[in-house]
Amino acid sequence: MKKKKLSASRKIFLICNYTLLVVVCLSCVLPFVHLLAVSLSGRPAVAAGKVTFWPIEFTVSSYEYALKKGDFMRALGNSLVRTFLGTMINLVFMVLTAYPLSKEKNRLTGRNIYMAYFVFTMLFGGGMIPTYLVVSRAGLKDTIWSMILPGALPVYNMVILMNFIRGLPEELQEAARIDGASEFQLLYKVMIPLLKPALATVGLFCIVGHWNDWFSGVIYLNDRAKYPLATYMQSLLRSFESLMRQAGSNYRQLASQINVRTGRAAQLFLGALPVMLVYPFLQKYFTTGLTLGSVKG
Amino acid sequence: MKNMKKRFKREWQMHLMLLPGILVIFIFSYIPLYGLVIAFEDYNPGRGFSSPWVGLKNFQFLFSQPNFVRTIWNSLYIAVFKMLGGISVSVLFALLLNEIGNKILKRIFQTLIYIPNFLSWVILAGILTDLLAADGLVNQTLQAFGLNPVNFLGSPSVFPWTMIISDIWKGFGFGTVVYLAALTSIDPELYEAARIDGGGKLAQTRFITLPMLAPTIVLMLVLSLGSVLNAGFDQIYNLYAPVVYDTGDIIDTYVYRLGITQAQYSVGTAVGLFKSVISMILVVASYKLADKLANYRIF
Amino acid sequence: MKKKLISLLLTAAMAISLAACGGKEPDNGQASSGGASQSDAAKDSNAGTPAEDGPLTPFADTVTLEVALMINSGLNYEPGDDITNNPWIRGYKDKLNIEVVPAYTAEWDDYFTKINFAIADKKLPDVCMVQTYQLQQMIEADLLYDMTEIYDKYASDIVKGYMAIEPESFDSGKADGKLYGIAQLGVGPIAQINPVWIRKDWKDGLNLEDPKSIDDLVAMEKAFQAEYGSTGIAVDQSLTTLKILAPAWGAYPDIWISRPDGQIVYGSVQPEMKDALAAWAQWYQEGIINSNFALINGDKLNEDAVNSKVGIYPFKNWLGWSAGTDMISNLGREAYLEAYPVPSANGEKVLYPLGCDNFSYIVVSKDCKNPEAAMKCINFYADLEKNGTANGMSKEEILSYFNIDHAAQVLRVQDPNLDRDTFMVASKAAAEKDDSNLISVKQTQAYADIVNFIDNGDPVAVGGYMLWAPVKSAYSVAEPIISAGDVIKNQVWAVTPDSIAKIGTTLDDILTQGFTKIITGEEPLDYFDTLVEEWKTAGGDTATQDVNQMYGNQ
Repeated sequence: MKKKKLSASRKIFLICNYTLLVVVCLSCVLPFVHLLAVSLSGRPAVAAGKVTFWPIEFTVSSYEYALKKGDFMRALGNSLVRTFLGTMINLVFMVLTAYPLSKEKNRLTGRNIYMAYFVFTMLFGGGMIPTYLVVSRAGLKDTIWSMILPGALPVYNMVILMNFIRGLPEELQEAARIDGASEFQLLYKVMIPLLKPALATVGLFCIVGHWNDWFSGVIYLNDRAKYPLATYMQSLLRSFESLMRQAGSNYRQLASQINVRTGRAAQLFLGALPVMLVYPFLQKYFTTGLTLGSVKG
Repeated sequence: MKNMKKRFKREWQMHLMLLPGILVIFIFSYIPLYGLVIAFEDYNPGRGFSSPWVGLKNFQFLFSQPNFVRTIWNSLYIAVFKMLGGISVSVLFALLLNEIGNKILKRIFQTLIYIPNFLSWVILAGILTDLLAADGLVNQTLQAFGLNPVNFLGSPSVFPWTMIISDIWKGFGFGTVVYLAALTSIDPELYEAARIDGGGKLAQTRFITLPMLAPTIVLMLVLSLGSVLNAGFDQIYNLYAPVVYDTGDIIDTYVYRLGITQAQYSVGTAVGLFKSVISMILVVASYKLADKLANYRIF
Repeated sequence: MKKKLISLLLTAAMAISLAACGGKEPDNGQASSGGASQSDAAKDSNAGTPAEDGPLTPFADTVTLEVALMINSGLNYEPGDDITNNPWIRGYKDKLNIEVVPAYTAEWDDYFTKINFAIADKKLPDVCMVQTYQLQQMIEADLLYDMTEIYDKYASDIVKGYMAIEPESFDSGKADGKLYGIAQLGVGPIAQINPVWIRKDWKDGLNLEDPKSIDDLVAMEKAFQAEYGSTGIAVDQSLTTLKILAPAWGAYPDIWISRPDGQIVYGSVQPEMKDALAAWAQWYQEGIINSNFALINGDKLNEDAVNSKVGIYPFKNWLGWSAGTDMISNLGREAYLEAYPVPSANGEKVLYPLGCDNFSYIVVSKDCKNPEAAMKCINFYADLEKNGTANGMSKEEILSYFNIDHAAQVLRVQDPNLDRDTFMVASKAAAEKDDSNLISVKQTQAYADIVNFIDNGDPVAVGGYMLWAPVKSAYSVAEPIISAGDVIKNQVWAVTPDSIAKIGTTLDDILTQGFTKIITGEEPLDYFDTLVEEWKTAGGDTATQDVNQMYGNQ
C-alpha cells in the first residue's frame, strides 16, 4: 500500500525539511546546554563569562550543593504533589464543563449564557488583592488548595477542549444515547477515551502551568516548608538582588551568594527536568489518531 | 410546560456537570471583581475598598503621562506580530513534522522544540544578551557570511523584531503541539481520496489540511486576542534598556516603572481594566467575524 | 457530589485556619510546651530580682511575640539551626523570656509583597518590618501601636544614641508627633561614599601617579588601553558609574540639593550636569568609555573586569566581592582594585552626595499584647553588638555563639557608626598586627580578611580587604571625607512627596534615556535643555514644588 519510490522533488523536500528541523531543534536545545554547561563549570570561568556550551573546569559540586540542601528535595516533593493534584482537578473541571458546553443551544438550555459567563472571566479579573482576600476568607491560606482551587477551571484550556469535542462525530454519542446511557455514563465511557489526545494536550499545559507558577506560593503560603519548587527557586534568585540593595553590612553574604551562581544553574536545570521527562510520555497521545480509529472499530 | 419538563429530564445532568465550574468561577473570579472599583479610587490597602472615590482621575493620570500613549502603540505592534508570526510558524512546523515518517525521530523533534517553553525569560534573557551582543555568536556568524553586524538589542528599529522573533522561537512549540493534535484528527480517508484523484502533497495540504486546520487556527487566534495588549512583560523587562524605550517600552513595563517605588494598585487596576475593555472589543469583533465569514463559532 | 466534596474541603480548610488563628493568642499563663525547661531556668536566674522593669529586664512569665521574619537563603546556620531557631531566638527566650515565633518567613522582595497583602487583609503579625510607603498606609489605616511611650520607657540608651545620630531618620517614623515606626537605620554615611577603583597591577606596571584630576584619570585610561587593552572606563546602561564621577564637575544627579537661595532643586537637571555630559560625550567619541555601555548591565561590567578589560571602575564599596574575588582567581594575586577619591574636573573641591540610608521601619501591631517585648528584643541586639562583653558574657561566647548576620533582621536597629568604628579598629589592628582589641564579630571578620589577603592572597578575602584595608580601601578613602564633612546632603530624607512616589522611576527614565543619547552623540549637547523642559512638563515641576513645600525653609 505504501509507495516506496520517492520522486525527486519529494526527496529535495525531505532533505530541506530535515535540515530545517535539525537547525531549529538545535537552536531550541542550546540554551539548555548552556545552562547545563554553567552548572558543571567552576566559578572563576563562569564569572569571566567564558562558559558557552561546554563546561570549563568541570565539577559537579553545584549539584552536590543543590541536592544536599534538603530544601530542594522537599520543594520538589511539594511541586510533584501540587502538580499532580492540580492537574487532575483541572482535568475533571475542564471535562465536566467542556462537554455540556459543546452542545448546541437547542440541546442545552442557556448554553450561550453559560459560555459568556466563563469567557467573561478570561477578559476581566478583579486583580490580586481581592482574589487574595477571597482565598484568605475561605480559609485556604497556607494550604495547598490556595494554589489549586482559584485556578481549578482554566477557561482558556477548557475552550480548546470544547472545540476538540465539537470536532468529534455526533453519531457516537447518539448511538450511546439510544442504548440508554445517562450523560455521565456517556461522558465517562464514550467521551473520555475519545478525548485522550486532547486531554494530553491541555493536561500538558496545566502541568507546565502548575509547575512554573511561583507567585501564588509567595502570597498564600506562610510556611516555607510548603513552598513548591518554583517558589523556592524564585526566592533563591531574589535573595541575591536583595543583598545588593541592602549592601551595607551584608557584604560577606553577598560573596557566598555569588559563589552559588553555578549552583543556581544546577537548581534551574534540576527544576525543569521533571516536566521535560513527563513530556515525551504525554506526546504519545498527541500522535495517535484515536478518534477515527474508534469510529471504524 | 410539558416541553419544559421534557427538556429538564433530558438536560438536568448536563446542568449538574456545569455546577462545579460555575461555583469555582463564581467564588474565585466573580467575587473578586468588586476589586475593580479601586480603579476609580485613590486606593489605600489599609482603608480597603471604601477608599476615596476619584472617578476617572487614575485614567487621566495615565494618559497625561507623556510616554503612555507610545507604550500602547508599542504593545500593539509587538503583540500583533508575535501573534501572527507565532501562528504561522506553529502551523508550518506542525505540517513539516507531520511529513516525517520516522516516528521516533518525529517524537524527538517534537520534544526538542518544546524545550524553550520550560525555561523562564530570566534565564533566556541572560543567554540571548550573550548571543546577540556585538561580538556575540550571531553577529560573528553574520560577519562570516560577509554581512554587516546587527545591533539586535540596542537599535530602536531592530529591537521590537528581536522581541517578536525570539518570542516566536520560545513559544512555537506550544502551538505546534495543538496543531499536531488537530492534524491527527483529520480523516486519513480524505488523503486517500485525494491521492487517488492524483493530488500531490502540496495540493493535499492546500485543499485538505489547511481547511481542516482552519477552525483550530481561528480558535487560537481569537483566544490570543484576549491578551493582545500583553506584549510580554517578562521578556521585555529582562532584555530592554533605556536606549530602546522609544520602540520597546510596553504598557506593562511602563506601569511597572510607575509603581516601582510603591505599589500602585489604583493605576495598575485602571490599566488592567483598560486592557480588558480593548481585549473584549477585539474578541467580540473577531468572534462575530469568524461566525459571519467562516460560519465558525469558537465559543 | 462534586459540590459536596468541595464544600467539605472548604470547611476542613477553614477549620484548620481557625485553629491556627486560635493558636495566635499569646498564652501568657503557662509556659509553652517546647521551651518549658528553658523558661524555668530563666525564671530561676531572675528570681531574686523583681526590680524595676528596664530595657533588658526579662518578663516574669513567658510572652510570645509573633514576628514576620526576613530570611536570606545565602546564610548558613549551624547544623540544626535555621532562621526560626538559632542562638538569637534562644537568646530572646533565655535572657528576656520572650518566645519569638514566626508568623511567616520570606526573602526581601517577597517579604514586602506579603506585607502588602497583610495590610489589605488587616491582619498584621505582632512585629514586622515595613518600607516607608507601607508605614504611611498602615498609619492611615490605624493598624499600628503608638510606640511613643514604650520607646521612651524601654528603649536602651544605646538605641536612643543611634537615633540621636540620625534624627531625620528617627523622625520619619513619626506621624502627628506619635512614634509608629522605629527606623532601622543603615550602616552609616561611610558606606555611601563611592570611590573610583583602579587596577593595582596596571597602575604599578606603568608607574603612574595617583590621579589628581579628571584629566589624570583620562590619561591613565589611555595608558591602560595602549598597554593592557582596556576597553574603557566601566559604564553600563544605568549610568551609575558615570554618576559616581559627576561630583567632579559639581553635578549631583539623582538627589535634591539646596541652592544658596534656599530653593531645593533636582541635581540631574542643573547646568553642572550639562558640563559633565559634555565631557562624557567627548569621552565616548574618543573611546575613553566602553562603546557598548548603552546595552550592558552591571553583571556584564563585572564580567569585563574579570576578563581584564577594565582598569578604571567607579563603583560602590563592595566591588571586591562582586568582581574582586573572581579577578584574583582568574588574573592573579595583584589583579585587584584600589580605591581613590573622585578627582576634580575643575580644580574645585569635590563634595560627595549623601542620602538617607534608612529603608525600613520596625512596626508593632495595634493588637500586640506586649509591645514592650519588641523593644526589649531590639535592645538585646544593640547591647550585644555594641557592648559585647559588658553584658556578662565572655568575648568567646559572643564571638562563637551570636553571629550577627543571624539575628532576626526584623528585631534590630543598626548602629549608624558601626562600619566606621569597625574600620577604625580593624584597620588599626591590621596595621599593627595586633588583634587584642577586637571585640565584635564584625571587627574580627574584617581583621581576618585584611590579614588573610595580605599574607595568603586568598581570593575570598579580597572583598574584605578592598573594603577595610588601612590604605587605598573603600573606607580608607571614605573616612576622611566623612570626618571633614565634604558631603552634600539629599534634601529629601526617607519620605518622598506623593507626586514623586506616584510616578516611580519614569521621571528619571526620561533623563537616563536623554543622557544616553547625548553621550552617544545621537543628540547634540544642547538637547540637554530640551530634555530639562521635557522633564519639567512630565512632572518635574510639580515634584520640585512639592519637595520645597515639604522640606524647604528649614
